[in-house]
Order: sequence, then structure tokens, then C-alpha cells
Amino acid sequence: MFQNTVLLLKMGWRNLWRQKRRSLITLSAMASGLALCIPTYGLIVGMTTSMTKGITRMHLGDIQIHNPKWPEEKGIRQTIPFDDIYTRLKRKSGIIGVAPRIYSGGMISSDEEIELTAVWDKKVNTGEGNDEEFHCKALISEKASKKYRLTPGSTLLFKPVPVSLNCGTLKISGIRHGDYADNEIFVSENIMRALGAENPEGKTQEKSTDDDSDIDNLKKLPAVVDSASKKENPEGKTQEKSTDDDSDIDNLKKLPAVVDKNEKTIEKRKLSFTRIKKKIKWRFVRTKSAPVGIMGILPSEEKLVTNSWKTVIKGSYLNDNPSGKYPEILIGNRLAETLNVKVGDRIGMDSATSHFYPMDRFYTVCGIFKTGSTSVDRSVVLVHIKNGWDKDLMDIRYFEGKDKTLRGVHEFAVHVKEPSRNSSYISGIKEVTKDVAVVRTWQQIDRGMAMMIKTTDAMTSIILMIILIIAAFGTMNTMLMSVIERIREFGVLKSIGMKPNMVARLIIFETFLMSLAASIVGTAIGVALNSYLVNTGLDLRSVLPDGFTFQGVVLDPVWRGIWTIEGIAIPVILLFVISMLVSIWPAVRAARIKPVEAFRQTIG
Amino acid sequence: MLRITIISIIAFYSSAATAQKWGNCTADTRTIVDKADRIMFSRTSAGKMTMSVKKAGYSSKMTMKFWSEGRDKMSVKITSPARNRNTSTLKVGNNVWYYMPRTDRIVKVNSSMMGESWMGSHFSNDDLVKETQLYKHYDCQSRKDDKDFIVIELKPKSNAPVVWGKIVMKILKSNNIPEESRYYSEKGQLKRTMKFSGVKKVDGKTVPTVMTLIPAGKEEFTKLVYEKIRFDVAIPSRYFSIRGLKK
Repeated sequence: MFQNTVLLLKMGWRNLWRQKRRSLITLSAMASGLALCIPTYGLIVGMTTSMTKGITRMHLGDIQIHNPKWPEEKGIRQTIPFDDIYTRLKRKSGIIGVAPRIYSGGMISSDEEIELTAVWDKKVNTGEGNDEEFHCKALISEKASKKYRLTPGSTLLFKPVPVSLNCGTLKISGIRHGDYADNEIFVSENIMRALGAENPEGKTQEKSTDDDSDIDNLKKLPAVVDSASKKENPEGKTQEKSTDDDSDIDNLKKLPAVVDKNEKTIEKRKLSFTRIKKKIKWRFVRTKSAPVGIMGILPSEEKLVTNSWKTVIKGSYLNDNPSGKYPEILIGNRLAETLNVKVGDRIGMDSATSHFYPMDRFYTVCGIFKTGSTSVDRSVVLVHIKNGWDKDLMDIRYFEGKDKTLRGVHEFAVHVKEPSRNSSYISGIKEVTKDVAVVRTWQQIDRGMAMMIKTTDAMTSIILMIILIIAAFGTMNTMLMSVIERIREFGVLKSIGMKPNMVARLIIFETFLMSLAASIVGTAIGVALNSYLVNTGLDLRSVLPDGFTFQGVVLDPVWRGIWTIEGIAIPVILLFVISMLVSIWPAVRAARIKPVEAFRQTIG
Repeated sequence: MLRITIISIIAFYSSAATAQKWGNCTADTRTIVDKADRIMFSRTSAGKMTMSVKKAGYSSKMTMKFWSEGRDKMSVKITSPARNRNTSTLKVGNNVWYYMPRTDRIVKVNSSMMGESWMGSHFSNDDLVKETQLYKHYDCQSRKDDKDFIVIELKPKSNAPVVWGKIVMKILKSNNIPEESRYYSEKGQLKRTMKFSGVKKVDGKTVPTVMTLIPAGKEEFTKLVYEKIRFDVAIPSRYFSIRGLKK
């Protein structure tokens, strides 16, 4: 049997070279099909890998740990204990990084102080007392508008706010064209009077009171509307006296009127005696704010899990032990533009807390990042996780255990040694977290993306199949031709006693040998092509200058291939399988040749 | 018997004669609802209150002072606990501002934040702003007179800019004080219940001094207890200004 095989192989090999040109053409078709398949596979796997990396190394990590309720609700009090899980996971082998995270949200705002010269302009309508808008109005000179980037709609806060002015803000209602100085702002008489009357040190500052004097000392309005009902109800007034125990209305009437209902008219009368200046310098504060998502991180650990530190384009990443007066904050480049801040600037931000109401704090901008994803660059800020644990700020603890003082986090993102086998680490992590948390792979968290990558894999296989099937039809054609050509030859072989299955095997062996030769040549060319794609890659920068984002994932603009065993083995195996399949028909045909009929045919 | 006849005649007469029916109900229903709705609104009011919030695994208590003028202007300043002291909220018309004392910042609540909770309570910023007079946007659907209570069902007028699909008010007959208001979604699902209790005569007015907001289907509530309240006092306009917020 074995000897037969060797004999058949020898015969097959010789047969192949009897029709040199045809065999070479078929061989080159197969080889080039294979040579195309290898780099194609490399490129597609390269893309899915870089996408996976983009997802996991940008933010997700390979595995994430959450409170069981977090995936559904994302409540600020749905935390997991920090210290216990963190230290035990760090000791586990195969785990590279365990990044704790706290999520919150709030408003971030920057203040910019500018000094402008208020110019009295009779044509400007104050707008004071307009409760709907609650702004005084002003016009700004064209130059100042350009210099301070103030446009109609911008609002300025007086600093300090003049006492006799009701509006706290000044809204720019228009731009005055013409030759005016670059710091001029045109306001109405009311505002000029108020600014002119202001004497920052002279006026006693109203202080915040601990007692209820700011309620008790308010004087009763003269009864106008309720007079009728009060007359009907004479007991009402006696009742008043008995309920108000600490401060009574009778005393109030004797007190000098702190506030009079005519307060405004008195002040205005007083003001009208003062001379109105034509120009007054005043300081204004311009506030710019934006809603943001806040992420509290442990910088050293975050660096082990994600590449977010690589996205910093100005300044530096967060430090584990910041030294400045205020905690550090890392913001996106688009947010920095909106707020008009640079590295080193101070900004204020309030954040949602575990008590459900916002608390605020100042931060120093330590760096500016750019991920390429517009929404992230515009609305995500990073702060040290200490701010999350701070009792005076977010106060995030583990609320579900017996000890309510334990530090809590919303999420752990874990980076493992073998990211492609991340699901195999799940059970080990579950031993640590028990039922306190849910442990999921990134594929389970971002199902859409995982699905898409799977679909891409399936598409790769289809593309490979198509390329190889085309090549295989060529093979089938060649084999059929050679069978038909050699009908007489097979007739002879059969008449001297060769069995039909031997004839069939001969044809299959011929195909096998051709495939073998093709796979050697094809692999060599394919590997050469792929090594170029791995090392140099396809540069898409001219087409996509900013890199490209796909479903929020930022991808490298240089598209590179990747080396995998499957990337070579699968095409080769496919080539063999398909070639063997297509050789069956010619083989069967050859086996069925009847010697008598074969001799009758004359082929020339 | 005669009395009943007379009453029914009067009732029939009035309902037939007055063209000013409110939805499906008699015209006086509107007065009753409006009085109940305005129970806490005087021309102005000032006072102190305690707000207790109970949520799953969480409870808090805050004391605050407030000043209000009509429905349009309101200013609230938190006095305790210490970590929130002097945090203030100002509402003028449709605008809401927060004052953050630690960073000395004034934050205007923008539209995306309007739906968020106010100071951790079950009230949202929107609730502060969207307090509209009920009869403006609602029509009376039905009215049931009990021995002590009047139960009135309100449906929003078509195209009314309101969130609720139905409001059921239970009002005490004797003094027009609401006992309970139930708020339903457009699909007719109960969303929240507001309960009024602790009725007292304060500063010449009989008002409920405890208001409890209970979101439907949760073991949670927000309870407001008025400790001191004064009506119709002259409140200087600076209390309702951005300048006043910082004070």
C-alpha cells in the first residue's frame, strides 16, 4: 500500500511536468491566490486588533468590575469596595494593572477678569428690572469685541456689583462700529449713576447671618390685597403675636427701617444728586462654563491599563502626589478652547456627590489631552481619585457593606497579560470579588463592538474563500483537461490491471502535489507582502489627516498588518481543502474510464 | 326636603346660567383649585424650613431659609449642614442660578441640568421653574364631593406645556387646604404623590406646614417642614438678584 503511494506520488509528479506550461499557469494562479490571502488576512486582523486595542487601551481595559446594579442604572451610590479588591487583585499573577475609577458629572467654569471703560450713552436702553432676562444691557465697541471675544449675547458680571443696581450681569446686546477705544462699553444712565455712586470700601458689606434676622426683620407689606380677608378674620392678628415668639412685629415697627419698600426711589433720588461721570473704569468677570463628565482615576494605575496618558498634548498627565494649591485636572483640547484656559490656569467645577447634590472646588489645569473623539475632547475631565473619596467633595464610599466608611469606586478596569484570552481570567477575579461585584470582559460590556469584530472575522473568511475558490476552479479545469487528454493512457493503465481507486488517487495526488508547490511559492510571496504591511503599513494620512474614529474608537491612520499563525495556516489549509474537493470530480471521471471505450477515442 | 330642592335648583341654575364652567365642573371648582394651589403663595413669603430626603440607603437633612415673591422669584439659602452652608439657589422667571460659596461661583443652570435633582431631593430644577398656575394649563375633568373632601381630577388643556397627564387633588372642604395631590404620567401611571399635613395658623394664614413628596413605587420621599414662615413682608429686591445670591 505504502509502496503504491510512493509510486503514485512519483507518477503524479512526473505527469505534472509533462504539460509544463499549463501546470505552471495553474500553479501560479493558486500561488498568487494564496499570496493575496495572507496579507489580506493580516490586514483585517490588524484592523480588528487595533480596534480592540483602541477600545480596551483607550478606556475599557480587558475586564471590568462593577457593582451588580451599575450596568443598568449607573447610580452614584452603586459602588464596590476599593482597598480590599485592589490589593488582592494586584497580588494575582497574570494581572498587569487594576485601575480604579469614580464617575461623576458637573459644571466646569473659568473666570476671566477684564477691565473696561463704561461710557455713558443715552441711546442705550438699560433693560434693568426686566425680570425675564435679568440682565442689564450694553453695547460694546468693535475693537473691544474683537479683543475680548465678546459678541452679542455674552454676559459680564460686575466686580463688584454696584449696590444700587438690581441686575447682577451685563449682557452685550450689540456691537458699536466706528472708531472707539478697544476697552469701551456703552451703558445707560442708570448704570453710570450706579457705578458712580459706588464706593467699594465705604459701603458696609452685608454679612451672612446665623440668626433669623434676615427673615424676622422684614417689614410687613401694607395690606392691599388681603385687607378684606383680614377684616373678616380679626383673630388673625392676635394669633400672629403668639406664634412669633422670638421676634415680634411690634418691635420691628420701632426699629429704623432697614429696608423700605421705597428703597429704590430713595436711592435713586439720592443718586440723582450726584454728578454723572462720562466714563468710569470698572472690572468685569466673564464666566464660561460647560457641562462635563468627571472621571476620578489613580494615575499610576491608569497608566498600566490604558494609554490615556499618551493623549496629553500640553502640560502633563495627572500626578499621584500633586503638590499645588489646588488639585489637578486634565481636560480635553476642545473644552480648553471653550473655556479659554491653558495649562496652569485655575478653574472651578462642581460635581455630583454621593449626597446627590453638587459640591464645588477649584482645580489647576495640569494638562490638555486630545483623543480625536470630539465628544470626549469636549466633555470629559480627569481628576485624581482622591477628589472622589474626599468627604467634602464627592464622598464616594462603599455603601452596601457593614462598614460605611470604606472607600468605594464605581469601576475597576483590569489589564491582563494575554488580552486575547481575557475571558479565562474571569473566574480568578470572581474569587476575589465574590458576589459583591459583576466581572465582565470588554466584549460583554461593549457587545456592539465585539459583535462587529466577530462579523469582520467572518467577512475575512468569506473573502479568503472567494479568492481561493477562484483559484480552485482553475485547478479543477486543469485537472479535468489533463484527465480528458489522457483518456487513452488511463485506458492502458486500467487494462494492465490498475484499479479504479488507484487511478482516482493518482489524480488526487497530482492535485495535492500542485497545491503543495503552490502553497510553498504562495506562502513565500504572501509572507513577503505581509512583512511589508506589518513594518510599513498602508499610510492613510493623506486621505484621513486626523486619523479616523469608528464608533467612537480612534484608529491609527497607518493601517498595518499583523503576524498570526492562523493568518498563514488558514489560507494554506483552505487552499488544500478546496483543491482536494475540486479534484474529486476529475478523479472520479478518470476512475470510471472503461479501457474499451478509451481505446476507441482518438485524441490528437 | 325643601332645602335640598332649593340647593339643587340653585345648583342647576348656576350651572346652567354661568357660561364660565371650568371643563366639566362648576365654575367655583376653579376658585377652589386655585386657592388650594396658591395656599403657599402670598404676595411674598419668607421663612425657614427643613428638608429631609430619604432614598435607598441614604438620608439627609438640610435646613434652609427662603424668600419668595409671587411665583416668579425665589431665593433659597442653605444654613446647615456645614458643608452646604451658604449654598444658594435663585430663581427668577425661568432661570435658575446656583451660588457655590467655596469657589465663590455663580452657576446658571442650563437646559441639560434642568432635569437634575435640586439639592439631592426628589424635586428637580424644573420643578422650581415649572410651577405654573394650575387653571392656566389644566381643565377640570371631574369633581366628586365627599363629606369632608372634594376630589378634583385635572387634565391638561391640549398643547399645554406641562409634564403631567393627569392631576388628582384632594382638597379639604372646610378651609380649601389641599390634603393630597397625585400626579400621573401621560399614560395614566401614578408618578408622584404630594401630601400636605401639619395644618397650622401661621402669620395670619392657615397653611399646611409639612409637605411630603413621594415618588411612586419607591420607598423614598422628600419632606419639607416649615419651621417659620412669614407672609406679605417687604423683601428687598436684592434678595432676588445675583448680587444677593453671594451675600
